[in-house]
Amino acid sequence: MRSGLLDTRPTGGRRLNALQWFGLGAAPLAWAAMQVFGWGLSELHCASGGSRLGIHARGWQIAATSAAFCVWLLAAAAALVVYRATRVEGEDPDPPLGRAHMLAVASLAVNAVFFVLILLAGISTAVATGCHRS
Amino acid sequence: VTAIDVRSPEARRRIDRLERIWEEPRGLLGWLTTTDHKRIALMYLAASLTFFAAGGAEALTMRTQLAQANEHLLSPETYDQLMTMHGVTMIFFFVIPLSTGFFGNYLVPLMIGARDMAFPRLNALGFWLFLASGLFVYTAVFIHKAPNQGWFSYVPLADRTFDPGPNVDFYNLGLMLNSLASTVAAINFIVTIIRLRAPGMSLNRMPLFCWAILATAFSLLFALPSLTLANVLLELQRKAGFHFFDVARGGDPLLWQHLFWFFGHPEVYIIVLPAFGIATSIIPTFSRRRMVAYPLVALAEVMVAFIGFGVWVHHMFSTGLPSSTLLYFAAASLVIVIPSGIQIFAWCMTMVTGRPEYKTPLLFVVGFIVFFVLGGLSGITFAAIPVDQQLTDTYYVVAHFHYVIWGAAVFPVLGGLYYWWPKVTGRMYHERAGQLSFWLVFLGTNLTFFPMHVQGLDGMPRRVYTYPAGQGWGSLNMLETVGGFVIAAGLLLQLGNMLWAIRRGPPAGPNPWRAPTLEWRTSSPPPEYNFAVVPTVSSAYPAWDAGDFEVDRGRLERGELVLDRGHETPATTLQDGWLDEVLEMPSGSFAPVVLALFLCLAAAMVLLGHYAVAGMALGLVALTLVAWHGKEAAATLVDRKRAGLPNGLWGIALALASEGALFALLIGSYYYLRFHEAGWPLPGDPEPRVVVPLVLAFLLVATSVPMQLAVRAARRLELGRARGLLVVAIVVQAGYLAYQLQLFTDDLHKAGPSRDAYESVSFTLLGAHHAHVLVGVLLTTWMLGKLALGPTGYRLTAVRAIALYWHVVNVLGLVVTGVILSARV
Repeated sequence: MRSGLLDTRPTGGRRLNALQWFGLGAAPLAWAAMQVFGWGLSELHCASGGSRLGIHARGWQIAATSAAFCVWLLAAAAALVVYRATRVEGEDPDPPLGRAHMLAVASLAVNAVFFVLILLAGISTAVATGCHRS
Repeated sequence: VTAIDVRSPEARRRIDRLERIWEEPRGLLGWLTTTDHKRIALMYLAASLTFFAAGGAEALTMRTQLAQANEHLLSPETYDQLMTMHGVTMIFFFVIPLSTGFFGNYLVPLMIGARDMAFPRLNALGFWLFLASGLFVYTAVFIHKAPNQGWFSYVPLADRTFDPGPNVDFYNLGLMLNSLASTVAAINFIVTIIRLRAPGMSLNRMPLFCWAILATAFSLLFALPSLTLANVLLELQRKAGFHFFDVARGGDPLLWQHLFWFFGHPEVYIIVLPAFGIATSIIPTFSRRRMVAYPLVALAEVMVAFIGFGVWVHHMFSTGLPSSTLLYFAAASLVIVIPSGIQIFAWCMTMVTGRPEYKTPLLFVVGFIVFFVLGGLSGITFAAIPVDQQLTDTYYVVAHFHYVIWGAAVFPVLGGLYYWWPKVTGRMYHERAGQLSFWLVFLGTNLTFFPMHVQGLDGMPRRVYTYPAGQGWGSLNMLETVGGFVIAAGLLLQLGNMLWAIRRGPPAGPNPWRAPTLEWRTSSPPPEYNFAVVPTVSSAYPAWDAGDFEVDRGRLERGELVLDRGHETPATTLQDGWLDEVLEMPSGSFAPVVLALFLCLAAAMVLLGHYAVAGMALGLVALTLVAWHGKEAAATLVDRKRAGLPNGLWGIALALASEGALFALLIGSYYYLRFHEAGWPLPGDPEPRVVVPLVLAFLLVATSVPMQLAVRAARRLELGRARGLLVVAIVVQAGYLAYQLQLFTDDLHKAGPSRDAYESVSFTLLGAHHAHVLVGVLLTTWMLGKLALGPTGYRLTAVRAIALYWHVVNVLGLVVTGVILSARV
């Protein structure tokens, strides 16, 4: 019997599974949270109803960038751990290792892209917090 | 590699049984009641191509009007309607229904080795709702009251003050129906892909086309609530005098733009992603090799969809937003190029390192890559804020998005039609005519859209019905009009070729291209049950695995995984594709078409202002739903042990996620309006009550306890106890609703929603939550009746689904109460 049927079902390991999904999804979610928070803060800081709150926008935005960067660091580490733990031979290796390895490769690429995104958004907040409207 | 040949009489008898089990009525009755994903896909094909013809005719009429300066073929009013209908038609009634409705529906179950979609009747409902929405909007064309404010329908132009006719109401209500159709389709795709893959098809072996459809479906699920909310708010403003976008009463027209583009930009990827999936299916086949960098291509498809939600503000760079806001979105708009680049390199490397055979489908994909690169490059210029601010509202934008939406999204679709036509019809098209049609469409596209870059840089504004002579735009406009007709000639040739293939094309056989994915492992056209035996999968290219084919042959002989005892399909685990259970699938029904009809009737009655009749139509919708769920499959009489969640629970969880997104956007709108006002509540508005709403909200949350205990009791088959707990819950829920409605009515008399933006958004938020409570009470009542008839697996899943619904509605109740009370802070 080829792989894929009930009787030979191995578990991928809960820890490895959790790391796999954390490595894949944490950095995108951190960036999304940072984006929504940063945008909201910028609108709030510059809106007529928000100005009375006296928000220190730059400080909060740098804090949000730092938090997103920390999550990214953990996600990248998780992706690396899964990648190293699931190295397998050949194309289309059997699950669960083959699946975990494929997702680990994807996670490494995801983390590279989201590092750039978090960095660019972070630089933006550092250079421009003004309410100048063009 | 061919479809399985039947060797023994026993195998023949099994196939005969499958044919009897899966056979559907012929003729009109069959089409009206069908739940076969292939027939539904064919209906999507016919309907979307008809709408395409209408959208194309609109485009050619506009191009004829613009061919020369000072033309008067069309009046300004008619031009506005044609321009709006062209955009709305091409996006909502052609590209999405064709790429997801036809290709997705036809191919996904075949590619993953399933016998149908996870929710076949919901699939039919999606089609009928889509058709109803298209006919609803096109009714407006025939009475010369078509939507006329552009496909984005910006306020304040779309408000009743400036557009008092029913034009925008057709747009709002038609798109609400269309969004509902796409939402149910998205839920169906997601559950089908994560639950119905053939055993052995782990995530690392899933076809790239399915990754693309999965990403598209998730995008639809979370993008459409924004469009629906925008449509609802605008309709409330137009019909009931609310003030969301009215500056004089505390509203903000930019709120519309935020809501529209939060949907509108992901929409671009919703359109393009299935095209990516088609390209990644065609390239390996004609390059005779596996796709380069499979994990990265799969990832890039998902990443494009995800980042696509974070770039919407680049459509608003010239609306005067704060510079810090612009930079966030400029960054994301630049980085989204990376996943798109990954795919372009992977496509090119696969062709370069393979042995490409330039048949018509591959030609279209090469054309697509060219257009995607060109459209992508002009897209990058819009991420540069100063450039965007100069070019916005010029023909440069029209050039860019036609290179992306026409060149990049429709070219693979045209190639895909050629590629899968032999599978759909069992006949080959004429190759030379196919290649000629490609060159005509390719040249026509460049003739039509490339000069628009120059015109845009030269300052020609978009959305004008004519232009004065002496601007230097005349010859380019003439060239574009000629190009438009060249495209039309190419498309007519393709249509003729496909029709010729049906009548006279040579037989195609199961796999004329020696293609690698599962749909090519069955006959052309596929039988109703798709596969004689649930296929074996041991790689991402199963039709190239001759060994698996032999395994299938053996299984058919032995009767293993043939599933010929009923209308059955296997379900597998999410990550690794282990066989989890065998599902009994529902068969044909009138309920979906009737339901779509009543929903369309409700929309029409709202448009005409007959709200009581609209309410009655919604009552008929509820009754149709009861009838829909009246008959249960015999095989679901027991609750099974399974590793994954049942499909019904997946479905309701995804629907609730979409509802959650809608509430999040409504709450976001509340705070957006709040922080753009110096005072909140606005002067003269009464402050919200505190104690009673808080007590009521906690009381409602408390009903989660009996709901959950009812689930536990039902799973232990203690039905009396489960019903008792449901009665406790329903009494409290109904009491809550009655009390809240009384408060709501009192508040309406004090300061109604038409007073100002604060009242409008507060009433809408509360009204939306009360509507969800009402639906929940109806669901619990229905469940009580069902449980009185005894336990089935179906009913046990329904109890869990309804409990989940209540948990989410209860949490939302707390959140909504908190938001309303926050006005006092």
